[in-house]
Amino acid sequence: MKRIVLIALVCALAQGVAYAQKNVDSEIDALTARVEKLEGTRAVKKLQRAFGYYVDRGLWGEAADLFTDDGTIEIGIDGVYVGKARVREYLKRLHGGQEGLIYGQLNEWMQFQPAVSMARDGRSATARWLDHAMLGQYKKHAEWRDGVYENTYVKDGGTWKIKSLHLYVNFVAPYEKGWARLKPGEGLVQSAASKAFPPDRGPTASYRPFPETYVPPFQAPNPVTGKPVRGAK
Amino acid sequence: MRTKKVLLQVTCLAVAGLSSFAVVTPAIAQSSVEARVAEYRDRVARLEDQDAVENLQATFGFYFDKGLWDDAADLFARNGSFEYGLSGVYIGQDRIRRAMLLLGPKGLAQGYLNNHMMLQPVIIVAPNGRTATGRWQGPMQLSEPGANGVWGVGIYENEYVKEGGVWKIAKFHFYPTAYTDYDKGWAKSLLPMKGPSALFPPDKPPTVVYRTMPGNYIPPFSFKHPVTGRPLTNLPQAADSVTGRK
Repeated sequence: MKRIVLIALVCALAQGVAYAQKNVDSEIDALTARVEKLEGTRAVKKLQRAFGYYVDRGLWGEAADLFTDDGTIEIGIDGVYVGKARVREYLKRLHGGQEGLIYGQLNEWMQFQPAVSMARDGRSATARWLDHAMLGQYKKHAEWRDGVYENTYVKDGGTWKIKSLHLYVNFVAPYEKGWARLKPGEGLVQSAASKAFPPDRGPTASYRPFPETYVPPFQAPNPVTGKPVRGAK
Repeated sequence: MRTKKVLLQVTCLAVAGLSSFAVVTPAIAQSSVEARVAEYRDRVARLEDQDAVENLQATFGFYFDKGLWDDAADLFARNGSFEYGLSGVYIGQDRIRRAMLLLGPKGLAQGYLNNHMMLQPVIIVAPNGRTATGRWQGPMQLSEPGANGVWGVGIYENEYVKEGGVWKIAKFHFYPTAYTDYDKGWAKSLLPMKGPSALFPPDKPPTVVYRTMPGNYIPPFSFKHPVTGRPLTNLPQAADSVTGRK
């Protein structure tokens, strides 16, 4: 009898250990998922910042290679370009049609203030970024640009890529006059590149830029209330 | 009969339990749990390292903006180096501290603005967690007494090292790429960089000789392409007949 009790005790103990083991495993799995999301957020920021650094220097091919095969780009009211080859060609034409930049061409596309929203499964993300650009051509023109990006990213075969990039341009204003002297309609026009090299799809948003007011739609909810952001209406 | 059957079942269970407990479980548990914990101990450490490096550079910016040269120089590693545009290279904290005086008096003075924003970081920490690189976007707002304000932009390509568990700046290299007079803007005014100081010459000449706008120079990239994984070599640099760059 004593032996039976002893065996039963050992049995129970072994089950307890197995149970604890299972708990450790599931906790490690949960922690791994959290670490992967932190790493994913890092990867998303790196992608977008790299996009800025490449476009700044006229490296159109490097910029396009940050996208998925079916990735899209949409800037202002130029419409949507689909796929790496189209993204590359559009960026190139937008800057004068040559590889790289030319003498005196200033092209700083700064990528600021990321608000990244990672999907629960850690396989996709959205982010809102502030666009602040210094554009121009020495001896000809100089502009400030203000805008907001609302982009999406996916983890594709273990590598994070840009799935869609949408820059809502609020204004392109001449340096000398400044943004306060812009008249309605002056701050945003369809680019010559988009007219000569039409997009695959028309613009997804129709809006009037500064001095009108426009809030680019938020993909992410308000982080405190959890509710969608509907703007000032 | 019934008791015997129960006894048999219990024994079986116990044997199964024992075997998994005594033989299988500890071996697997120890190797797999420890290996998994060790793996993401490293991953968490690399995430912490990236944060530490970002904070280090941001802190440098806050000190540098206000002319806190002593504090800024304290952020450098023992053999840390400082290179700003065409200044040449200053090596070690004492030399760096004095070199910063070329930008203005300690604590600056009336009429000086030395804003160097540290933005858009791409930080790469080495797998062993001992070194790191960082590219930063650096808009500037500058002024000196009696002169017009100046807008500038540039790129930082820096290296960092962990000494005694603390991240420090190993190599500071700022590549200003454009300066413009505030009143005129970059359509009308693009200003050149200063060369090495005759008052307090650097320890080494500039590692890279280039011009600010209107010449288009591409500061080299420390990080590989995030998707293709390839380094960006053979950058299409503009030709320059004076420096001999083709």
